[in-house]
Amino acid sequence: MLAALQARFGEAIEAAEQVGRELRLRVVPTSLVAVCRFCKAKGFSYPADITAVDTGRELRVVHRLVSLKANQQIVISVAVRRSGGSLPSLCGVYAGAEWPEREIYDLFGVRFEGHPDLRRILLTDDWQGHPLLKQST
Amino acid sequence: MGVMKRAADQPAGRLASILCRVPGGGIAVTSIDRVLNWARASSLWPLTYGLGCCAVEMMCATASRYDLDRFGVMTRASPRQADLMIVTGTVTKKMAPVLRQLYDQMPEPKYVLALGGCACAGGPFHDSYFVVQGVDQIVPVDVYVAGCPPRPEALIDGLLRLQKKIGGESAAAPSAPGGLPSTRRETA
Repeated sequence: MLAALQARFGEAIEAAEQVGRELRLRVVPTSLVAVCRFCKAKGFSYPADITAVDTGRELRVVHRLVSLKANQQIVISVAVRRSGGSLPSLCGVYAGAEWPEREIYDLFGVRFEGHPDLRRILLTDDWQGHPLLKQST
Repeated sequence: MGVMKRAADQPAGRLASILCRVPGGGIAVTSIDRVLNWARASSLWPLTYGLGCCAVEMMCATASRYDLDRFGVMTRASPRQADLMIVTGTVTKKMAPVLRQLYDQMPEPKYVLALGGCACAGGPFHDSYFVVQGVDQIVPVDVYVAGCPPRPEALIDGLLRLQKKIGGESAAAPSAPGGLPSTRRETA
């Protein structure tokens, strides 16, 4: 799978590491949707989780794709600008990405371009700020 | 005029103890307050309001092992049929207006029991950015039951204290909407 991805996307895959049944990738934001579409075509049809991590140094959105058939996982990590950063939405590839992306927008402030309904999901609509960013804790 | 012997621990005895027989006739007299309070306290129908793990303790209390039916407590799924709100769990700021609306939909007289640390004062989410620090900031609370979570015995104790409290109410001096003044609060 890694060889196929590297042959197809080349430089767009910044880093790759196979750990057990898990393939960890760092992908440039502009190729995120294409990589996910490619993975889905290869059987990784289940987006188990989409979340974000603020390490203090950088903010990354992490997608965990699962192939139930092959019992393999692909973890795709993408860097985002901390304040007002945006990413292409995966809703066009995985319909189930809608609510996780709303949650990330709600708690981390990442805007997802092309999302059909990007409103807050956990906090009230008039809430100010994004509480899971390091700067707000 | 003979007063019937008190056997306050027995439900039938409790009823008998508040009735005074008039000699020579099959007439019983009592005060309206006592009858109303007895009826209200003996059929508390709580609105199930499960928001967290305390709700599991409430479910356990209503099930066969603890059997809240014994106390006339039968859970309702609609606020229109309920006169007691048992708030079990963490109330977030997003849930707060919903809780208040459900409380407003309950008919008078109505009571609130805060079950567990979260409902009493925010619990482990003290000073959290999105957790209401005690449900008494939204609705008047009659009985607080501490614990994280409290065991069903503690909930039963709280309900008995609420029944006792209802027994002290008077129709002539109605309490504030939704509960009694804070000076008469009981803490279980």
